Amino acid sequence: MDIWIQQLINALTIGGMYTLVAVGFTIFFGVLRLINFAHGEVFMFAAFVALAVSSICVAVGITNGPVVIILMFLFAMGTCAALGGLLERIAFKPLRGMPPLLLLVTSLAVGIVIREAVKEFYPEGANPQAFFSPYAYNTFQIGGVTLSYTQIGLVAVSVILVFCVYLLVTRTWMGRAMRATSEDRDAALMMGVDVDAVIRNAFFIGSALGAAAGVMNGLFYQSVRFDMGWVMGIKGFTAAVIGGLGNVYGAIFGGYALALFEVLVVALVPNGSQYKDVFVFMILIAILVFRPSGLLGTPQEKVG
Amino acid sequence: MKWITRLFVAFTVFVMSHAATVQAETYKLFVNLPLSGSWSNFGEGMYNAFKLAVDQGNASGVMGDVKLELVRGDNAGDSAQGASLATKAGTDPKVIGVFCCWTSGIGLATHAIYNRYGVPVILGGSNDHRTTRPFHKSEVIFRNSPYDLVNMKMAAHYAVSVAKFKRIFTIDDNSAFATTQVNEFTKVAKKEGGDGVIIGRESIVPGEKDFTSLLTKIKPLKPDLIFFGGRIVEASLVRQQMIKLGIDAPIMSSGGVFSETYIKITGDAAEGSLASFWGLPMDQYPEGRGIKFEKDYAAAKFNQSYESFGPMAYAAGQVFVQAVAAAKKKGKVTRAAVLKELESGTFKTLLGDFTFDDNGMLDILHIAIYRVEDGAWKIMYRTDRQAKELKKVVSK
Repeated sequence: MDIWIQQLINALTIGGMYTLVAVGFTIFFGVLRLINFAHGEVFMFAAFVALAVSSICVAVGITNGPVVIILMFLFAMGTCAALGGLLERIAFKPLRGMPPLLLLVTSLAVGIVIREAVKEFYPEGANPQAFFSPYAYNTFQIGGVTLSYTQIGLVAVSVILVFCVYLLVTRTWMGRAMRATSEDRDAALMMGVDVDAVIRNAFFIGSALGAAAGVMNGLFYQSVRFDMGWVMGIKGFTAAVIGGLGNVYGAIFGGYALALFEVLVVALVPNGSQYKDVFVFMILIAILVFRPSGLLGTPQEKVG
Repeated sequence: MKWITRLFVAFTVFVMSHAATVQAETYKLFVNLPLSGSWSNFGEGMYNAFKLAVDQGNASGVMGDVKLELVRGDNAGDSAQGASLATKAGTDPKVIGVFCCWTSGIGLATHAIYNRYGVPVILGGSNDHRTTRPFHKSEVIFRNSPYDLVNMKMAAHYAVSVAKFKRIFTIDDNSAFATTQVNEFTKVAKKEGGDGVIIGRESIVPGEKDFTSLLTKIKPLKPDLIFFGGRIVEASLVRQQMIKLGIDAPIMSSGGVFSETYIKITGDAAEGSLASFWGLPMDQYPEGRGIKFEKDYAAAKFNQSYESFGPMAYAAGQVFVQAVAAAKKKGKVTRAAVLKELESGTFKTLLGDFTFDDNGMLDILHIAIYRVEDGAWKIMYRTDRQAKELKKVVSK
């Protein structure tokens, strides 16, 4: 029994990160019909921003754990929100109205630029880097279940952030504008919604959430590397598709469902850790074939 | 117009005379290593150490008026790029030798290409035995370090018969290098300790960061050692997550993990990690040659450390220099001549004085067992020259 609770907690931790990345994918798709593969690299970039912040903090003598961690989150999310806005302005805005395929290819290219830039310009960027994580080994036992404070903190932060997104989407004017744009951009425009601002905000929010996931990833796994964004990008995208691209609740559901599914495969299938991705992508293919609008999405007649 | 013609003639004469002096016997050594990507820390260290040996050879004049020039080929750890570089090396008539690969996958992908062009190769790293004769027929391939069959024999011998671990769980990262390692380790461990000594095996996917669900599954089996075939990043994550989940056992690994970088990114969790590696600490090499290499490397001011494979790369450079020097004394420096020297010569290198046997394997086999203590790899045991037995190293 203990093992299953432990596995559930493992799933919740991974699921939190998947969800935060997936929400970004889904928001971009919602407002722009863009599958933004640069998003995984923004996630990686955030981890490096946080790493730089922690190095600077240590260098100037700030070693108080919580203070450094809060600074890491703030700077990483701020920088990446700005980066997201910048990418939208210089890479995606000029292509607005073009076929979605062009946007997709652009996003791949932008992703490569970010990844290689970190590799080349961060000191010893090609090497894995140790990440500042002061509480990584502060664990406690409940029965046979081992919990770390970092893990609890991460699950809490991801739930809070996801809840904030939920409030933002359902309760604010901005959220309503985003949903309207997502459903029908032209109609929203006619109703006086500033679509440009909506898209810009979507990039700020999505990138900041991805950034939070990046910092969490560093804190939990204690090391970061320039090529960590790709796998996370694919996983986040998969989570978003499982829940239905464009549907924020779907992304939340998809993130946790994907993590739980992965954990179950590893736990139940002999040598499952080797075939985990095979199972995951089989599910992805099945969903794309049979329910392209996702498990939570309502089937649509027209897209774009 | 006349002055233009004159100028042209003068220019042509100048270029030709200049070219003649430059062409005074320059040959190329082609380096095919991961100089970018995930394993570039190893590749760069090897390149620098190899370059140091070649530069010293050029400066010493042992090769007469022959000069060796390096071609820097970056395979990024990718077999396809490695193969295309191998072809490039083979088709360049100036290339008389190749220092290749680091990964086993690239070693496997390229040996037949090198053989087709008859260009002599020294493998740096590429620990999988299948990269070496007699497991293939490519007669141009030589090694500067023992392969996994030897390495894993000593690793498993240590784990089962010396350290007396009773419940070993093995994990590999699904690469050619790691699966063969774990196969061999398992075989020897079972032979020495009975079938029950290996309690299970799983594979992981490189690039993945979360192994908690796998380790949660392993924990109730109560392993007393996790043997990990793979590389630094994943080993480090597995080690950290073992501790977080309260798995009270050391991790043991090999050449893919034995590196300062592992300790740097794993932090305190690295303490107690074990590794078997085909290299010794610098002060253990004969006649102070290791210490001298260390000093020379520092003096050359490279911007990266030589890493764990640097000393063997340096030895490979020394071998090429000596082979070319010997070939030059007997006549013309060609691929065939260098190959002949590699087959028959005795080489005085950092690792010791050695010859290559009929399969291109050096006849000096250093394997050492290391453990992380106080944030550094400390040698515990080392083998004799033939790697028949393990001897305890008394630290000074």
